[in-house]
Amino acid sequence: MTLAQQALVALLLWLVGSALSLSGYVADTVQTPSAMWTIRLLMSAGTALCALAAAWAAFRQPMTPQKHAALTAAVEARRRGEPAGPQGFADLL
Amino acid sequence: MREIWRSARGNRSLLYALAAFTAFYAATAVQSAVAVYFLTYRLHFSERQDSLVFLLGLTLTIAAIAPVSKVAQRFGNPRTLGVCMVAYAVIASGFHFCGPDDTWLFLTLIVLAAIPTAGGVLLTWAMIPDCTEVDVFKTGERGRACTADS
Repeated sequence: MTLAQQALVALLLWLVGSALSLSGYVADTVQTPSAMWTIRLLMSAGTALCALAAAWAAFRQPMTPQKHAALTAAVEARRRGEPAGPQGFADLL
Repeated sequence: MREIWRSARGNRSLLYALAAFTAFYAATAVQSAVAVYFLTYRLHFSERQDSLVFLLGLTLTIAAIAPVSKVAQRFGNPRTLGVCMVAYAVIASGFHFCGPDDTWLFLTLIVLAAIPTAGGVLLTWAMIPDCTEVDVFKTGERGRACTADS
């Protein structure tokens, strides 16, 4: 998770910087319409698209509280040396 | 690295947790990277006002963690995260309509965005321990360090 986060932040900072440069952004001056449009687009649609991708992954996540409870019970049973199958959470495996 | 990817490939719930985590942090990284430019050139905020906006957002995000946690306990982490991310997308879209004279609209969006942001920060990490239980069942080993470093 940490590696994914750091690599992602580095990549996105480079991409955002590149997009701003290509749009004609120049620091400390009045921005061109295309630079302003890029800033607004990244702030709104860029963020929204990534958030929607996160929502898709979250809704596709197969783990539910019920499956987690069944999984935890099976792990505990195995720890006690009892046989335990994947009843209730087989689709996670 | 090979060990990390092998662990992720054999664990569907971990794959989706990683995808949600990556996409959420992509959203926050894009927004954070461009927010200063938006505040400066679109809203004409001073550096001091920029800092206050960031402080307000972070403070509200921290304050929203406890209520989001309560909701997640009732509805489950993935479902709560999904709803938070849809809300985050809707709120982020609203920034497109913030003009130089729409300071109150912008501040309202910042306040609202704190809730889904808290959900993203809290729930992406909270899903990981659930996913590691799958590895414990399959292999008898808990790869917490491996998962956290992936």
